[in-house]
Amino acid sequence: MKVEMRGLTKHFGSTVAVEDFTVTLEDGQLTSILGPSGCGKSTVLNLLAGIVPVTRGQILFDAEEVTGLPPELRGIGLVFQNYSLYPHMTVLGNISFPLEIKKVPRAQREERARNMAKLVHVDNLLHRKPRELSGGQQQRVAIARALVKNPKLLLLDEPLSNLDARLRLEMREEIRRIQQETQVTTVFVTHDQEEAMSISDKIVLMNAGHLQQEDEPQRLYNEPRNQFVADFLGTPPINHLPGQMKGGVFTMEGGQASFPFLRGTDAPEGRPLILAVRAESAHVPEQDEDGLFSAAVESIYAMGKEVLGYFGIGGHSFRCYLEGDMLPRPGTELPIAFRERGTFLFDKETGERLL
Amino acid sequence: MTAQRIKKYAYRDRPLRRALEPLAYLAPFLAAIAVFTLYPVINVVLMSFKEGYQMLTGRFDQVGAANYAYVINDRYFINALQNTSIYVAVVVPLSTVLSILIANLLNRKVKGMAFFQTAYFMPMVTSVTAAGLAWKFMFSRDFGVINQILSWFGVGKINWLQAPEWSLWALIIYGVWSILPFTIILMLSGLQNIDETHYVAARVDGAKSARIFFRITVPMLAPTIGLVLTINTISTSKVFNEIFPLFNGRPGPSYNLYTVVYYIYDQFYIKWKFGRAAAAAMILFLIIFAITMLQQVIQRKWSH
Ligand SMILES: Nc1ncnc2c1ncn2[C@@H]1O[C@H](COP(=O)(O)OP(=O)(O)OP(=O)(O)O)[C@@H](O)[C@H]1O
Ligand SMILES: [Mg+2]
Repeated sequence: MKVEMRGLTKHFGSTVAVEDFTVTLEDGQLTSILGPSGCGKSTVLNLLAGIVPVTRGQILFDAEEVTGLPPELRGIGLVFQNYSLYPHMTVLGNISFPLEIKKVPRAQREERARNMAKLVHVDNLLHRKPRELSGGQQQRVAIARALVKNPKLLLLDEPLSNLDARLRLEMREEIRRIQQETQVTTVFVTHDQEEAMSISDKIVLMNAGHLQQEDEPQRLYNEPRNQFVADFLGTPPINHLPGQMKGGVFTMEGGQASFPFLRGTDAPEGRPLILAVRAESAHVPEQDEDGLFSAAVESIYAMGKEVLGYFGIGGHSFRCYLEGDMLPRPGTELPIAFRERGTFLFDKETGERLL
Repeated sequence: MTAQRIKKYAYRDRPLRRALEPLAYLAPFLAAIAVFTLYPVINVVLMSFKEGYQMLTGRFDQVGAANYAYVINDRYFINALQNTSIYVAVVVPLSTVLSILIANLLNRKVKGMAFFQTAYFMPMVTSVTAAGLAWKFMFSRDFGVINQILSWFGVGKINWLQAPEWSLWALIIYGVWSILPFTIILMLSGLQNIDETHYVAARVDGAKSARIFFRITVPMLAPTIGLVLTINTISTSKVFNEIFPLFNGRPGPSYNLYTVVYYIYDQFYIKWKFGRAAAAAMILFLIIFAITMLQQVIQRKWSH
């Protein structure tokens, strides 16, 4: 089902939870809503579900307006962060409860519940109570319960945040598999960028109630529209070098270093700017290559296959991956060069991307 | 010495100290229990077997079961048992059902709820005697508000407090009213332990209020309901205080409304038959104990 949100706005009293949010979700896709805590992700989900009324704007399901429709008429399945399984019902009872409400005859609803249980791999646990299940199993049951009435839209609100790291990896692949098997249009709310990057067809990135960018994961990472997007994505976080343009050359604050840009820029001279460089886009050049500036090693973190160096430059910390066999001592001055990809220029005040 | 070794030293090498230390901390509390609870209880047990016991002199004729024999053959005691049984059997279920319904209403976030919450908790902050007097007026045959309301439904005037056949029902109504607030508080705390998302999930799936109430609220409230049944059964079995203000300090209009505790009171303070009072108290204790055990067993079976 195609879902359109047009100028969707939600205020709680004087709190602006969501403001002028316009996004389209394509049929059969898995879209993540990503953003920091309190940015309005759950609110968007609840607006889609019809649990909270909208302040302004429209929601369309397959071009049909559903803005005022109560939740039970929207054909949605909902999965909560804490699963919210009914503790007094068995797994089978939980999964078939939505059908019980719809007055589907017992034999039929148990048959469908069993099929659902098979899909999410809990068919061997049908007669257990939720408290006798692990977190991952409860999660699977919650998904089965949400899917059993064949919803046109599946909404998941931070479904993995109560699981430990390993289970989280397993369950996100499971959610992807289940989504692809059922082809149900899915919205997945998370504040974990890695989760969103690995699971989604499309990511909708929000901040403070406003849409920042909607794109395929890789494009979001490679072509951020503003500084917030660039900052939010990537581990370690993107490096910031403040400065301004002088004669077509970016000059760092305090004049410690300046570098000519590979791509031409018409960024205004004299305005405060931020040069943002991903850690993997900076490197220590080979001998025959020139560095853009040199910086002193502050500390080195060897993390398995990668070595991350922390450098100090003009009072700023700068993170950069090093070649595997290189372990410089702290205090060593090393040259550093940037690659064009993963290097962006932002207006410091507006956050707007200039290059 | 590492922290782990210190621990080993303290706990493994000195088993006696390990066993006695907690006891030392508990000693003052245990002493208070012994003096104020254990001693009187033992005393009652002993007293119930002493025939012709004199409280002041401590003398008694002989040890035997005569007190028990008297009590279980006493017409007033049998009547007291009947009254108490009916009282418990009506007040406990009625107050449980009412408290679930009222707590469910109070649990909503609606404007003006504070007023209703205060209103429902009034009985808790008023003295039983003062409230009892107020109820006495409400039960009044000619001027009482209860008969007034009933008359709107075509019910004739009921002589709640003077007619023996109605007096137990007056006591029951008053009993439900006075036990409700505490029961509602327990139910409310039980309701607040139910995560809101359970309701949201059911509502999104299209469940109506009645189904949500019976299929989700009540089952999830079951542990609280069990607790309430147990506590209220015990407390209503001891019905006593409620009788004085309603019936001018008599057990009903024609001495028809003895309850077991009233009977004990009567034997002890009025008739000075200490052994009979103790025997009646023992019988009441055994009955309450048996019922409570039965409840526990049933609840345990029910919850699995
Ligand atoms: N029922 C409510 N009443 C008042 N304010 C609310 C309500 N629900 C949410 N808000 C506010 O709206 C904003 C967005 O909340 P929302 O729950 O959508 O954030 P979120 O992105 O889901 O955060 P998190 O990642 O912490 O779950 C927050 O400022 C929050 O305080
Ligand atoms: Mg949220």
